[in-house]
Amino acid sequence: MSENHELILEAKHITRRYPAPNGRTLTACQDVSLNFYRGQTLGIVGESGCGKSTFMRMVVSLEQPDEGEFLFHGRDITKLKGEELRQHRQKIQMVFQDPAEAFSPRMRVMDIICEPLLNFKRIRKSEKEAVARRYLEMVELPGDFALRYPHSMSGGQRQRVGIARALVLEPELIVYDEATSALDVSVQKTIIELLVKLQKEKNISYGFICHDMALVQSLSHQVAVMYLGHIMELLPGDKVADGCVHPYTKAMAEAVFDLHMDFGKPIESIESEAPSPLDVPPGCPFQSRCPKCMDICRKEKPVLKTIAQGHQAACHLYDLK
Amino acid sequence: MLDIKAISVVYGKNPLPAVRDFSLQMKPGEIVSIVGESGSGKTTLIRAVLGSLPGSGYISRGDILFEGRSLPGLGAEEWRDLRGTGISMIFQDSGAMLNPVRRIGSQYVEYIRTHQKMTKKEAWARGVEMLERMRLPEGDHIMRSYPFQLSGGMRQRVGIAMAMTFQPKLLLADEPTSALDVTTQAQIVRQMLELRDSCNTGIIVVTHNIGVAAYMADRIVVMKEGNIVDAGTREQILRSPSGTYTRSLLDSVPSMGGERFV
Repeated sequence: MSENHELILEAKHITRRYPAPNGRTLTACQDVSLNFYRGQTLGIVGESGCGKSTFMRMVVSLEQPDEGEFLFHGRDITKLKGEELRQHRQKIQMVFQDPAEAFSPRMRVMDIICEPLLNFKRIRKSEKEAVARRYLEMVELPGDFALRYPHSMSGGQRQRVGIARALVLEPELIVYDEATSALDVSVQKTIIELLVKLQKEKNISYGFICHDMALVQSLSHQVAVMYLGHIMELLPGDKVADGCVHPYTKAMAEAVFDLHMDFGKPIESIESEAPSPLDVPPGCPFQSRCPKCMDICRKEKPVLKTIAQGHQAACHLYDLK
Repeated sequence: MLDIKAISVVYGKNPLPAVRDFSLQMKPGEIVSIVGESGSGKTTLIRAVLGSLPGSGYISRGDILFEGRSLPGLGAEEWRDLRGTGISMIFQDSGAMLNPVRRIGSQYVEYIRTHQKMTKKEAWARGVEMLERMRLPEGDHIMRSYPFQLSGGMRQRVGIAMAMTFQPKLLLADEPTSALDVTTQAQIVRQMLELRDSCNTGIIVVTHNIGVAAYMADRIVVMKEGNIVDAGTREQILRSPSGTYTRSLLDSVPSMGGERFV
């Protein structure tokens, strides 16, 4: 599947630690390796605190990893500094969860959309309104919105402006951090349709973080499942519903409330909650909640193994096969 | 048990009611889900039932009967007797309803003793018992914790335990699982269903998560801009929705293995 597509960004063995009180360390990402391909979407799902946002923040160079490297077209971007880093930022852009907070309330929409272009001196000030109108129309908003302020728009409209702002620099990769989670379902659907359409037109890669598994699998080419900083399973989006193998992925999938589910059947879900990322147990991080936990899981950390084309899982159950 | 008779709710001088001509009858032990998008009036509605409309909101027309008693006319004293024992409510984040600088236990004991004559010791034991019924291990330990020491899922269980202490006939739940992770959400939903089975509590769930609403509900009410656009049993709404709005709403819900965009 992904092999035919050009590799844009390669994350290799990324680890990120934060100092915590009492001399402890919080490992937000542990040895994460993922690839972004041109024109494809990589979705990351996981519960809060699993490190999915930390990983994506490193992708957009908002933070730097403690170990590992990000190769952007083969060039390590974690070492970039100063002007080089600034120029590189044009290639990878981000859309945030809450568009109300991502904009300055005192800037007009056209200033918001064109600020990145002006920063990089790619347009003149006099061209601002025309450019803003063009991009507003691209995200299916009336061009007249260029003169509005963010507060006079609905959540869905604001999120479209956020997408327009990410698009103006013509990046190769856009990261969406829960970009549709704050929206109503019908608005969410129209935004997703827009994102998919733009991706096809412009051949951009997407990184999409979301806690809604049903949504992620519907728009991702690959889905990575994270738990306490570890990748548990990486699989093609169309296999999530009935091809996932990791006990954690299965537990997440069973906990989804679906309109087509059998309502007479009690909802399955693992008991208890994820342990604090401050004390990840040795061995498999999921051992404390796993229904199939074995002796080896408490001693040895499972590594990601390829079990089918484009499908990897980190679980001792699949060691032998 | 509950009979909402064509109520309209108005905020201040705004001529447009936030809820218009809303009627609903509920039997004991029944679960009704109210779904709708932001601004559809679903939260306003359950706040009207609890008599705690924010700010300048008031019921301009209609009546709400709870076990034959008209609610809108009740005085402050009567409300205090009713809330917690007859009708109680859980919120999206129970952490926000708790006082952050007091331990759970002291707030729980105060809450119990406001409604029932009891020694502090008895109230404490009652609290621990309720917490453990909500599958919070070591209730004693939870009682001695501050709200910020608990996870979102644990706080939500504390909120439900407090709301269920006096086995109210009606539980109002405003987005009870929206702030939780999916696995925790499934646990909380399951526990709320168990409460209905063990205490015969009627529940009104307000949520934008249509999957959760459908799973819990006997009946579903779909609201849009303050009006009921569709109402019926779960099967009626899901299998043969009468309104185009309901249909488009249902179509927008992402589904595992359903429509794919790529």
